[in-house]
Amino acid sequence: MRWRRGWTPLILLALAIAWSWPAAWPQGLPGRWPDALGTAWFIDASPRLLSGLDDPLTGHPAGAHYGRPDSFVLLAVSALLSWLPPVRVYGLVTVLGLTASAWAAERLAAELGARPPWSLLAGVGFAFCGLSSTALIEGYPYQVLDPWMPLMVIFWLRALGPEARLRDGLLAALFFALTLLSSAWLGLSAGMVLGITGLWLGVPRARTLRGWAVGPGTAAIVAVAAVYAGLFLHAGAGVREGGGVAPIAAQMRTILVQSAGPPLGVDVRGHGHNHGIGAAVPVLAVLSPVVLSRGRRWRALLAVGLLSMLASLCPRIDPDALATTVPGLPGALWGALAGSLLRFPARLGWAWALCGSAVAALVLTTLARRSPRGAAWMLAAVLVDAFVVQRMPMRQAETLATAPSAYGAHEGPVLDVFPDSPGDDPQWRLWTTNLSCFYQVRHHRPIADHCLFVAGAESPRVTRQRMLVDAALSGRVATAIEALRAERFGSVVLHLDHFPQADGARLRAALTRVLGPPVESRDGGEYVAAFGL
Amino acid sequence: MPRPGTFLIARPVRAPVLLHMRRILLSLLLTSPPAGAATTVRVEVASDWRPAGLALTLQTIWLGEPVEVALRDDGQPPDDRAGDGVWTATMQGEEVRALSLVLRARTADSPDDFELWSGFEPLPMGEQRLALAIDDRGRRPVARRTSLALPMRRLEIAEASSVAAMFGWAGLVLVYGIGLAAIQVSRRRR
Repeated sequence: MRWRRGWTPLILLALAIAWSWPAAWPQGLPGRWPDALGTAWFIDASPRLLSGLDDPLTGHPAGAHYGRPDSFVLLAVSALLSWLPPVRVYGLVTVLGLTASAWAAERLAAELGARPPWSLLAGVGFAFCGLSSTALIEGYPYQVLDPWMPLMVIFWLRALGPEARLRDGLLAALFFALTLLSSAWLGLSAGMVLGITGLWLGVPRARTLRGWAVGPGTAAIVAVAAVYAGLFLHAGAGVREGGGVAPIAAQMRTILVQSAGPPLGVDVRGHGHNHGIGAAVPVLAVLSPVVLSRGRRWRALLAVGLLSMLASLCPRIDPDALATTVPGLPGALWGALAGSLLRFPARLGWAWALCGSAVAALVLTTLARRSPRGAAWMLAAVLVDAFVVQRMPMRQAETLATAPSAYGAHEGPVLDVFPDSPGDDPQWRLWTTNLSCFYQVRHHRPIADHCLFVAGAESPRVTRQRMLVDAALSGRVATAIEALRAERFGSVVLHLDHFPQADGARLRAALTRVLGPPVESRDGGEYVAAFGL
Repeated sequence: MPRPGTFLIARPVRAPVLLHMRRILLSLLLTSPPAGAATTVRVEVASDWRPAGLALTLQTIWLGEPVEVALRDDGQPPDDRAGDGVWTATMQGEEVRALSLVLRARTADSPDDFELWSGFEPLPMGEQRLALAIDDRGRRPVARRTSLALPMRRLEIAEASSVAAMFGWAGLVLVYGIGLAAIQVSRRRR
């Protein structure tokens, strides 16, 4: 049977819809954790953020400047699709992003010499990997909108080949820029691919030069491994537990467990992180030196992939621990390194997902020439990795995409008031901020929260809610109300479900004495009381 | 009063096909979620800790209303099997986004109930299942949020088995891949 060109994108689209369900037809907001709410806010706010990344509708009363949005590509796509509701844009970005990424990865495998249907393995291995499932469950659909990295590698390999044209280099640069603008983590992975393949394929025009390139490359891998080995030996030194960084030994255990796939309890608390390297892609990639005889391009990609996998399996490092480990180096440098590069090392695995899958597809194509039926089972195995091992889409959930109707009772800026921290949940601040921001998608009134990271600034909502709650519980609520009126707040919305019952009642009574009875609502998934100022 | 004759109610306008298509597309894309759906939370607490007179209760505030339910292990609904060490309760109501929950215990030795666990649970839409396990290996029993309603020791075995299954799968694929590669290499040599 002859493979028709249109089959590849159609199959990948069908897989994307099934794997990311219910993103194609959401009833709520796809995503299990609070960042999904924040991403929906970002999609909604994109048109107004286009003018200098300033947002007058958040961070009230001063407004906010968001210099470091997670994804400039999502910003542009959302602004283009601003005529659609944010939840629909979210779903479209997810499904079409997965399809485009998988198709581009399949094209990369074809560039290396893989043939359909075996080249589909590259698409599935890249777009439906463990990191993708984490991105969808956590609420970062823009991370799966990455056809740019495979396209970058295609044109970069051409630019490094004997028939290189200027156009290839320029397109590689363009797609690298788009990868970086999609997500900083994808950009880091893409930089790794560019650097190492450039060293491997670009420098050695002659055999001696090739030898020269292999030597430092191997030395670099050994050096990186040695540094990490040193860090592992310093596992107990200066690692904070309270600061959110678990002891390195414990992290290593978790990483080892998660390397095969998501453990049972992965979605129970806070985050859905898992490395999920799978089985079919690493097995085929490891067999490549035996099965594939010639070619430098797949060797270069395999080297990048293995280095990336090594880096992604490293534990998260505390900057202070690094500074004490190597005292001669400036703490600021370590801080920057750990804050950016090592904060989530698992995400460096994108380069492995792409390069490993492309090489694996090439190996499968070679195996299929002798044993097509046997190769078909391997193609089925990569689907088992994606759907059964990753437990997608069963792990995905939907969050309510509605807001309490009490927000509609008043006009002007809103101050959302949550308790500071009920229980011991570390995700509380994240959840309240994202929820407050998401509600703005529905009520469109200015809010006090910062909806994206603002360096060195505490959320204006948190400072004002603390001031109001302290004042209300100590009998000085009138002063606090005056301060809020001076800042032109139009209403205070109490999220009473999460206050201890006695505190909530006292707070409500104190505000009622000064402002009169509130407008209450129990829809939108919350019981809130809105007081007009 | 209407009079006999022909009435022109509105000027007939033929909308362009593209406009029709755009309307259809928008009506499909702008579908709203169903209103008035309910949230059901089934809470299962596994325990090997069985002091005399053990009673477990779960407390929360559901859309402003305090709710307290007793968990049961007597085989009566919603519990599945009597005496299997899995205490069960369900709560149902209008859609709720998150709950702050408190699990309390009372025994014959300590008639004043005490807190075993408290936590904040963001709830995705639809029916949710929350599992906890009581760990009595410390000085006093505490409950932990878990993936399955199994006592702590069996839970550790289940989690280890799940990891072993995934590594086993990887091993199986590796053996199969080596077999395929061996066929390839042997035919190449021939």
